[in-house]
Amino acid sequence: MRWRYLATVYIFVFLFLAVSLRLFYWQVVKAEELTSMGQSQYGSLISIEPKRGDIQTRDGFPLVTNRLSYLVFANPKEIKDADKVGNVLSPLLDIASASLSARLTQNGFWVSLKSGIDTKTKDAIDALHIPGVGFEEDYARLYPEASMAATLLGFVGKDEIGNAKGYFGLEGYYDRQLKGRYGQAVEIHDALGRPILSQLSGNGTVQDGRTLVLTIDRSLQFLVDQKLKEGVENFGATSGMIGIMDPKNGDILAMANYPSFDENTFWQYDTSLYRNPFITDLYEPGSTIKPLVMAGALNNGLVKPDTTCPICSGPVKVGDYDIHTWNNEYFPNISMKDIIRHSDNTGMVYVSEKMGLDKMVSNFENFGLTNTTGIDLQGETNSHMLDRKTWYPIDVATSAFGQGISVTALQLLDGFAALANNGVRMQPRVVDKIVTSDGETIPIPPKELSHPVSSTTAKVMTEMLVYTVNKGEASFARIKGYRIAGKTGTASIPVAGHYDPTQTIASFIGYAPADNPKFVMLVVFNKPTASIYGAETAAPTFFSITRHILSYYGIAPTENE
Amino acid sequence: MKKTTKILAALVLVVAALLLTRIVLSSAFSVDGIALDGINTQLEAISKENMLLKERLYTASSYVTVASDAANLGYVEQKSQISLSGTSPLAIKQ
Repeated sequence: MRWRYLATVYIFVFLFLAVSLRLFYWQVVKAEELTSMGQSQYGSLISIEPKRGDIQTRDGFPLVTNRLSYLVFANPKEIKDADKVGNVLSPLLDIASASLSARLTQNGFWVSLKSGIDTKTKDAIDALHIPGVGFEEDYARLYPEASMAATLLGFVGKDEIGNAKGYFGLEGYYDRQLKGRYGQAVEIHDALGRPILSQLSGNGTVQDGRTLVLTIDRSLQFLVDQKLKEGVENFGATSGMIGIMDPKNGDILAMANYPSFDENTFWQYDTSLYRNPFITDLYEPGSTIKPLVMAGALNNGLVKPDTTCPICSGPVKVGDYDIHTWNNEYFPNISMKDIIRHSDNTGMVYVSEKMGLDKMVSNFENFGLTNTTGIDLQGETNSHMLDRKTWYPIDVATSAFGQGISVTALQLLDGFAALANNGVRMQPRVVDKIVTSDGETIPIPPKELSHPVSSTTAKVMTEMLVYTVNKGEASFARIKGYRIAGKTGTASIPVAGHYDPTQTIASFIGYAPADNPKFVMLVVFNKPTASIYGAETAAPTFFSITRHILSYYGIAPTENE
Repeated sequence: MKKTTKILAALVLVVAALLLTRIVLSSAFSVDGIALDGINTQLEAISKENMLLKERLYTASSYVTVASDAANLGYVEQKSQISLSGTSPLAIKQ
């Protein structure tokens, strides 16, 4: 009897184990595969696109936000007369009726007619009650200020799988913050495979993008956009750029380039217009670099403002080259402050000889001309400073007046801003804070980068620059009653191993009010034809903008003139 | 009455009571779905309207629109700036 009992027990245990193993196989090993098979029978996994974050100026006004947009689609099986529907929709969708008719006669259940249409057009089509024509809701970018600051903002295109992706500028740099997190949901189908949209579930994981609050001042940006366009057209330049920064914290208040593009129709523009030349293009800065070299010499105790130049009575020979002044006028025993005022190249050669190679290169490094500034924009370029061992004496001499070295406009602006900020160089920044979809604010604090010169040197240099504005070549354009520090620049353009004498990059850099600067600004015109000089093109534009900014900030004149 | 019959009767009563409760609750909740759907539809419509209004507001209050409208109305930029520098001469004839 006992063996029968044991046999029955063993058989049951064996069967139990076999069932358990089989269940483990189906429920654990093959679980994922079976789940997806099951889901595919009653529905399909769809991804839910989050709402992209806004980009706001410092006053909270959106330069970029979202608008409702629609994709128009049709089911050709339900369209009775494709030609008639094509003719009706053609003017509304701005597509040739023949092209529409061809799509409406395709053999399928779903054809896309046009994406990105606005609510007004959608309502107009909806009112026609055409059977077989439907809409899919979507979001598109809205630019209330049109193409203002386009190169700064960048644009939104598609990635390789068709999802929204930011390119260039802020859209590119902060793409991960702006785009949010995609959600996933199962779209349930009915017995005939038609989607039951109300049965979407599991969309809790979708998270909308974060909003960027910029340091950009909308009023200044609007002003700068207008003045730059006017300047480029008036002076017959091929292009131009302007940047304004708060030297105390590195806040970029405005940054404009012209010509630019319209973000709404970016694909219609040449791709070269997408980048922001202020941070991507290297150029020889010319005389605008002289204050930085002079500040380095002052800081090292090599010269004083009233030190005289013993080699400035004529062209200076360096190696096989003769260095001339820009207008071939020479001032024997000219002082350092007058070297800056007259933008005297021979005087700067004297300063460079006093400094020597090591101090010159170290000075450029301290002012940030050899590294990227780290601004929060996509595409910043780094300048290529030669290795110290490969410098010739002529390179040291020419770099003192801005030839033979290349910088970005932003590097120059940031270096110059140190003079306006008691010798402290700040990191330029465009985003002040990030606001999450839950309303949490993440501040981005200002950051110090270096101390290229002492506070005393910065003050002495500021006095020299105020003297330059009041007595120099651009003094005709200055604003009476205000102490403004600045310097003109007329840089030759290197072409095939030599400098083109007829084409220049005209610029002006400065800050105001000189004793407590609210802003530092760089104006650059590329190849102006009305005049090749910075004093006659960039300087008037600089002072025109400065006049508005002083009025905008409510800064009263301090001088009796 | 036998004890078994009493237990059976009690069980039947419990089942009947639970069934009745379920019917009452189900009928009460069945219309909540319709109300919820109505609220969701309303919410969606308001969100959409809000978005359209925001779009109109931003476009109308943008500097580009304001400047363009101002130019159309004949406003021109003030080119000169007047500033009072220094002390104003008070009672100069005294």
